[in-house]
Amino acid sequence: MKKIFLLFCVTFLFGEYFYSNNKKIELNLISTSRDGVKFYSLKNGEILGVGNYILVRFKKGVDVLKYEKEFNLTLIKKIKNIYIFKTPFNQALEISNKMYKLSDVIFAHPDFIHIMKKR
Amino acid sequence: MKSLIFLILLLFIGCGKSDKENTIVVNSYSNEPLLYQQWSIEYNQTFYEDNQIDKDANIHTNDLLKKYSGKGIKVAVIDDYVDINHEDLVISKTYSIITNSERLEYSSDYLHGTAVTGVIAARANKKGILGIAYNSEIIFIQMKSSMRESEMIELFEKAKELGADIISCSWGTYTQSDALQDEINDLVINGRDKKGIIILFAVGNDNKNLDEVDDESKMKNVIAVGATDSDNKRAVYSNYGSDLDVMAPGGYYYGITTTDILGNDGYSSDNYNLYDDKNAFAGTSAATPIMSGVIALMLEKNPNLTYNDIMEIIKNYSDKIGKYEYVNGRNDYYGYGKVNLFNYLNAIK
Repeated sequence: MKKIFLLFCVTFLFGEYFYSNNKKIELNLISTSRDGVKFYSLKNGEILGVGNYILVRFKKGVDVLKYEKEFNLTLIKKIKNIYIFKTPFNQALEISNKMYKLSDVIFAHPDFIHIMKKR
Repeated sequence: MKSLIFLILLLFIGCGKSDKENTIVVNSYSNEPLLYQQWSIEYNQTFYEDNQIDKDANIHTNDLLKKYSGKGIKVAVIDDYVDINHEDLVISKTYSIITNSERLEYSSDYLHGTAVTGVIAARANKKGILGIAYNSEIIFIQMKSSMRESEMIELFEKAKELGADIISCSWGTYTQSDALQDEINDLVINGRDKKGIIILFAVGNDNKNLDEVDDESKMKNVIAVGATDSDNKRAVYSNYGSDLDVMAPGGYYYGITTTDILGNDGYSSDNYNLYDDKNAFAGTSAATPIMSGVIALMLEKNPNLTYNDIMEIIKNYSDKIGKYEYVNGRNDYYGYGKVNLFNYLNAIK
């Protein structure tokens, strides 16, 4: 029983997650590809890939360069107000979760890889 | 005799008048060989009775397709591939995120997009089927089988760049993200010269309560489309939940007759996928292009309609079908009800 409780605490405290629409979405690692893309399952069983890219939208007038330096980001592209950054290897979740909490940031999450399901 | 001459003279005078404003354009579409089996479009007594289809299972076009055909309206379809050589399709513009060019890449399992496109815009050319908005312009945007979120955003941006009035999405990922929602919000508010691009998503075919999962169809500012069957009831597979907006025929026992990849390479061995084929096209993937076609006709009648205008019409003029009570005009299994083209167009000034 203690072990199960401990496992629950470890998962809760150290399990991986991201933020979407002000919700914390839990992720369970299922595999890692040779090029470092991690594949996670969501609670509903869907699979998401996370590489070394993140999508961030800042509030107007924010010094983006400051955050590029702080988090060691490389700007790849900007689509309208959304910045696509490359992160250091294997840090996309960690960095985007930190950035999500910044008051200068509207949203931040990995540039997820989705499996497109025709319906 | 004098009065007869007077009458003939009057007739000639009448014919000589060329008043464009008083001219009613009557489109000819009823000679499509497979129209009789397109039960989702209009009532065909013999076909309906032979197949025991509910008389209200169609979208109630009531001859309005003679007047409206989606002319001048651009519908972007984001999907796997379209057969640009199909005899019944005219594709105005293409873009592929695979080739990063106008050239679409073919794969033997890319069958879906040709079926979706035909439902919207198969031409009235006496060759096969009739798309609901058969004179609309199709912009086909090819997606990958797995994509980065940033690529998904680029596809929507491309649709906007190519002039889309409507974006039809017969796919989903059961996920949601802030970045895609941000893009959708921008297109629906600022696209189409601030009138907003109308974006539709299929709700999916897993009989799932979408309140328990995430999905693109749940995003704000999109129209979430579920499917009905030939009994004019919610198809058993159609996902449901508090974000479902509207139902359209998607088929179940009987599919939606539509275009197929030419020759033997498609769902069927013919150029068309018929309602009773083994691999008949059915699902919310079929319902969504029907609704996209309907919205193309609405925009043809009044190009100034916004997303909010269209949602108001859906809320107030959909058929409240099914066994579930509608509270404030909706329930979670049918949304605001099933599309009724006749009511929708009559509601537009």
